[in-house]
Amino acid sequence: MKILEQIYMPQESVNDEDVVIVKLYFASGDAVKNGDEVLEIESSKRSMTLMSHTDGFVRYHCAEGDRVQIGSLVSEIMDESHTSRTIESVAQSSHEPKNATQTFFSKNAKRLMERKGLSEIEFQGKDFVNEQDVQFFLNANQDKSPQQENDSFTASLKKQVRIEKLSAQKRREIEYLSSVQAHGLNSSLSISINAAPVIHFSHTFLSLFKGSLLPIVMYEVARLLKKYPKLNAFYNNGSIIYYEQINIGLAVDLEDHGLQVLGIEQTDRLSMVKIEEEVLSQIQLYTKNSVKTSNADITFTITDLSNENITTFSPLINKDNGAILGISALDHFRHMNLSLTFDHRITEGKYVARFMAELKKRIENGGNGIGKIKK
Amino acid sequence: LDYGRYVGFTELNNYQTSVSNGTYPVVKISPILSQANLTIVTYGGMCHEVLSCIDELFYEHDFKSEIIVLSQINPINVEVILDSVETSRTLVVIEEGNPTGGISSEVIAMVAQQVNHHVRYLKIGALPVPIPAVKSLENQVLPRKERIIDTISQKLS
Repeated sequence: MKILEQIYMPQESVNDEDVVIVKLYFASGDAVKNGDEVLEIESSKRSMTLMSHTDGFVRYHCAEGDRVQIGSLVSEIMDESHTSRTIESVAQSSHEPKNATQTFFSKNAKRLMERKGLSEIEFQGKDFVNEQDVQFFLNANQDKSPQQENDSFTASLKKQVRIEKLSAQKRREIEYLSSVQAHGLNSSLSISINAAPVIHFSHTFLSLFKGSLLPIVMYEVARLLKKYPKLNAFYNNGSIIYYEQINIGLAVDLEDHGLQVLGIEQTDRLSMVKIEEEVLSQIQLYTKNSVKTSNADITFTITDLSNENITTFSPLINKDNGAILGISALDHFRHMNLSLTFDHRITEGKYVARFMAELKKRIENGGNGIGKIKK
Repeated sequence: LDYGRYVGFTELNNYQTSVSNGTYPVVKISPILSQANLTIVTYGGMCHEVLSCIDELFYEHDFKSEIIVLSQINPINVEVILDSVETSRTLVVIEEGNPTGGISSEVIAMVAQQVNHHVRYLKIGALPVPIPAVKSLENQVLPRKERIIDTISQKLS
């Protein structure tokens, strides 16, 4: 028996370390043709199918519902069906029950069920239930366990609410943001900036983002981070990890593409024009779902809600970052707020206040400092 | 299947029996619904000893066993074993013979050469002494229910 093709789990999104197998279109041993869809996966970004590129017999290395590591082997196309010379179910055998006659529980399963107040009815229809099955059941139902405490409340709630399961993308987002937010030692500072002069500059000199402050803020932040390395770092297990490079990430959330952070490598070395070009090219890649940079490359994040008429907000720090800067909208007086959320385990308010004051100065004097645009 | 005895014709609650085609078939006894988390490969006289262990392995130690009984040991139908190990990720080979350089070593080597993932392996066989002629001593040397369960639970739990 020869292996004609091996199908590995592709990296669909840079933020994914694993994906969920949603559906297997065949059973192991079935014949497949070139171009047949073999299995469906759900990444944090979207669902997609993997295809066979040759004729043969499929052999799966995963099951529906499995969470599979990126790059791992999920399926093979063989030159002959392995089932044809192995086991065939004896369907007519009277010795083969079709359904579980009763459910058997292991000692550990019973113990855990007793501790968690679960009844055997919860596992009706199963053949064997061990501790792992009970644990799996508890994990799958952990969101609704508070509701189970009060059945009447649950019943009334069901009439009043609509329950929607979180998408894989949202779950991934929660996982990433929780890694820095969970400890609860973050703090936010805001500063008001007179943007009138720099808006004029933006209209005059920027070619792609006319009227936007984003490239200017990125440009100034990248240069200032060299002086404030604690904001270009992250906390890990009692240590501060400083990044050598300054790669600013831009949080983008366009319809149907999901929230993603686009990295601009070595932002501090780029001219304003280059930053504009890089941001545009990253956004184009993002809309085509083919962003190359991984989350690990981003050392500081900027999120821009200036188009949404937001006056001030507290952004959430990205995974493996120590700070994030939020850009709010301009008010009638052409003032705007910049808000910086930082990890208080790395630095403290005074250090950040200095950074913000200096950033304000640089942006307000933008017409001078950044006027020397290099093409 | 061997020793003039049959496998799979005894009612086992919640297990199903499958038999491969061919003159020397492979018999697979697996949970009817659950995915097994333990693959046990055996042959010959050990088969019924192994079957007597599966209830206790489940109840006491949480193992859902899939038993693969070989009736031919050369060539070995390794595909059936590979299929089972894909999901269980744990392979135990039990034989009456001496496990050093025996069939269990061969089965484990064949599987290890072909799997693409981590599998835990264990072989259980006769103690490294000549097999005694006296029945009571033979029972001490050959793998029996208690030793099989103890070894699996100690090494794999």
